[in-house]
Amino acid sequence: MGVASTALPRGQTVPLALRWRRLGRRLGFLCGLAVLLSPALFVFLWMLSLSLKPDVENTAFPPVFIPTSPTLDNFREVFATSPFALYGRNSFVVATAATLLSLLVGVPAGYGIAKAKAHGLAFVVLVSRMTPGLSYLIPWFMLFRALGLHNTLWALIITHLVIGLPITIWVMMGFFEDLHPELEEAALVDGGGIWAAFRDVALPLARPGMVVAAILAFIFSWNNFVFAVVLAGPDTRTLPVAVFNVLTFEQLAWGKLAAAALVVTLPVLLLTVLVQRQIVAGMTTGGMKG
Amino acid sequence: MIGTRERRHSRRQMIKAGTGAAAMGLGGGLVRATPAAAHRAQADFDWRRYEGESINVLLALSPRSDLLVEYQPEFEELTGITVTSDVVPEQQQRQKQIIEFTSGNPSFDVTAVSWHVQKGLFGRGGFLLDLREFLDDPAMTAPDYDLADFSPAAMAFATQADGRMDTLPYNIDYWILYWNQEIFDQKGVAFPETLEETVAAAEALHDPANGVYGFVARGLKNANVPVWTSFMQGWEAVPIDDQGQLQTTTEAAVAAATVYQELLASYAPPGVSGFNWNECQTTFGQGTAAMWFDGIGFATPLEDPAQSRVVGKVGYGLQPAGPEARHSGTFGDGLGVSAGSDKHGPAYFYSQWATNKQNQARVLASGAGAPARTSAYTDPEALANLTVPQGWVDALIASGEIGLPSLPQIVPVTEFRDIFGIALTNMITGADPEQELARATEEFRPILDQSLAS
Repeated sequence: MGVASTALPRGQTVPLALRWRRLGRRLGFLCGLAVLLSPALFVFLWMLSLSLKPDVENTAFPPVFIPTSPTLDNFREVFATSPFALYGRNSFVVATAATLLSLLVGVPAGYGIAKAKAHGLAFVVLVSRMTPGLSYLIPWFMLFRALGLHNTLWALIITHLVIGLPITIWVMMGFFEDLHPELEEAALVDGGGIWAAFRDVALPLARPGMVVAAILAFIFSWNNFVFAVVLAGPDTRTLPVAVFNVLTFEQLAWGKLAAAALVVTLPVLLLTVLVQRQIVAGMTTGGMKG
Repeated sequence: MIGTRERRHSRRQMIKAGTGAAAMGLGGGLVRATPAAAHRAQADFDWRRYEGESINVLLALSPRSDLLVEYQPEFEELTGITVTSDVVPEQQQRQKQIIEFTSGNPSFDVTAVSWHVQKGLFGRGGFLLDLREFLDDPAMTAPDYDLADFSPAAMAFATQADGRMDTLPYNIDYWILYWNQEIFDQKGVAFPETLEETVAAAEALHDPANGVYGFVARGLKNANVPVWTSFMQGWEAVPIDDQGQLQTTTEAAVAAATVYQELLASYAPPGVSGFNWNECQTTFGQGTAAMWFDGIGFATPLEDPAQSRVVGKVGYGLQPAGPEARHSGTFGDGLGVSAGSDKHGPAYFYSQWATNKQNQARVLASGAGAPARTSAYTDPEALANLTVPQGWVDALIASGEIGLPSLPQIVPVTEFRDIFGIALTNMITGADPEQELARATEEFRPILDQSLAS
């Protein structure tokens, strides 16, 4: 940021005009930040507000933002009416397994595509991400019924790879392409094969990329709704279904919907916040800066 | 194919006959007597015939499905059949059904069917089992099931073009006019019995400066079409006639669309062209609309103080009459057995139990919907346990006498709703009804012709 780089050496006085300009810039920066973040923040705060109010207040006009009689009933009801613990466990198992499998296959694949400059192949991989997921559902359904995997978590894990794998491959491709060839050449000169170059040099350097890919794959899997509706049964459903289960025809339940959505979002939010440090750390300490 | 056309005719005649009978009154009943009925009454019915089997049931999320799940242990105890119920939101349930039915090997043995959306499609696909054989078999149908108890409209809905009965009726949804009695009383306006009076009342009550809008109904494309087709019934008109001809540019169609335009363009809240039932419910429930025209199932939330500010103030009125007739736009759901299931017997037992007299009475008592059985409306226990006002039940019974399907029972019903829905939404923002309907008719005609020809 320009704001930080203009700091003067200690002991020197800053001219008043400069100080004002700096303050102005800082204010401008904060305003810009507020404008950029407001869509995301406002929606989130509004969701929080909805979840703490009874529905009669949620549908009031003009809208009420700060609850006049805050209540936790919405949360209580959500937990009472949906098997949240079961769905939460399913979501966690499916998202984790799908993410790990995506990394296992996607990282070497991304390396291979980057090194071989196989851009055609990269495009083919992306096609599976661009095709609407619904179009896979009938063949998948028939396949899983035939294999006896219908209504199992395995069915979900396999189908979530269709979302997670292309993302992982593409993110990793980008990282490996940016890697200085000299680093790997050094490994090759030292007598290691291409596998050693990948494992000992490229992989550790690409850790931030893996973290990004893992977060994206995890979030996509966590949020996926339609596969869980069709391919899973009552015992193998995941959390997004629980959110939708709050909505029924003829019944409005904004408060419960917001409460359910918050509960479902929270784990991913925490995960992202925690892992974000990893990304930043990886970026500053790695060999990426050349 | 000629054969298909002939079938369509016979189906339309059936519906006509059914709804004609509906007009004679719920109590009249279209008796479907079987010679076996007398025997049945004496026979000792064996509910435990399929003991130890298990079935999967796919339902759409609604207060009615909640009831079935709640009382499911009763069925399991009675029959020894284990039931796994899967309840998913309506839109996703429909996707799931199509995907699984087309695969030929659905994972569910029983499923809920929305007649006004899926009847044509499921009928053509042969996705559901014809239940007539079971219904006539005293070993399969309990003596007290009483098929004649279902209202004629429900029986017409549950029967396919070729006479196959592939669903058992569960719920009928009539359209009514909700009115805020407090707002009406303040201005000394009487409840409107005709569409003309409805427009006049909306004008008299419309007072946006004080936060009151005269009228609210769905303006969102697709969702809004039943408002118009129900209004059309006042001219004794239907959007698609018995010969499969579009009647959407007739005088009646234009007149009904003009009423729709007058009400929604002049007396509805701003932004109504984006309103589906939930925005309408919010508006009416907050006491900011004097009238709301929609399905009958909203009494429970409107009478719930946690969700509504109009508790005790809601009047439940009949769909206003047009110049030629008074009907009530009707929709409904049934339960069907998957043709591809290998558990037809236990699945039929479940469908039979779910639509029996006791479960139908429970639907009424909890205000979860409008039962398809006439006996539910006179069930003393249900009436004593009502959780909704008696006025709602009165409106329900009176609507039953004038009920008529509001949407055409064609396969491309979604396309029909999309195309005409856009025309109606355009009218709210000032487009000419006649021109819009002409344009939509031309757009939809090839789609309809193609579906009738295939």
